[in-house]
Amino acid sequence: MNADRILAVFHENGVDCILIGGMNFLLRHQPVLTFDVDFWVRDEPSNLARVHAALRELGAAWGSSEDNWKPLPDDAQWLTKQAVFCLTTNHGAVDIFRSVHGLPDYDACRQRSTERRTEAGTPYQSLSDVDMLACQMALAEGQRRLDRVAYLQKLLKN
Amino acid sequence: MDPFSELKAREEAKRDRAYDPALRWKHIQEMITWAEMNLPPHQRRNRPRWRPANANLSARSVQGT
Repeated sequence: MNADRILAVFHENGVDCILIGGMNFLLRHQPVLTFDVDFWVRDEPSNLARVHAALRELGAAWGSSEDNWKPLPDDAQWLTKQAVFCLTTNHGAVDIFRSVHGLPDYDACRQRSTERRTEAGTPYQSLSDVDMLACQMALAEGQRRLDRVAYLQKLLKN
Repeated sequence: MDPFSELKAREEAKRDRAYDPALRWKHIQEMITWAEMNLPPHQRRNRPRWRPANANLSARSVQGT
């Protein structure tokens, strides 16, 4: 996976998004097993068009079933069909979230997020620790990443 | 499971089935390397390249070969 390439293409296309999930936790804190890049994107038509452009540039593919898995169509309409999409790209797996469980307000989370850079200098917007924890706590107990919850709770307590 | 989590699980399973196995393996290997390079400094393994004094040295000269 070329995660820097994925982050760079989203940045270059001006996508309004926040990095969430395991990769965000890894970049901020400690190693976790993660094989995709999770983006929470601002759910507005103009931004979804930018998301679509970025994904096309990355050679993304998606399908309503694995039988019709194919490169993305010309227009961004498919992005309005559901709340979350798991795609393949030429550079690795990408998840697109139009909404995130436990985090009702994109603007508030965007304000709490910070701009950071990877080791190679690629910029990305990073979900805050408070919101990462809120996101985990919104999941059913059996679905929570307990190691992340414990780490974040300890960190935020101090 | 709530509807959102169900959708996410369905999407992940669908992608797993659609992913070309060879490409997926390549992406996993690249991800492991990338993750190692991008860990916060306090989580990195103690390797010569992380020492600032070695920043301009080649791997060969660091190893003394």
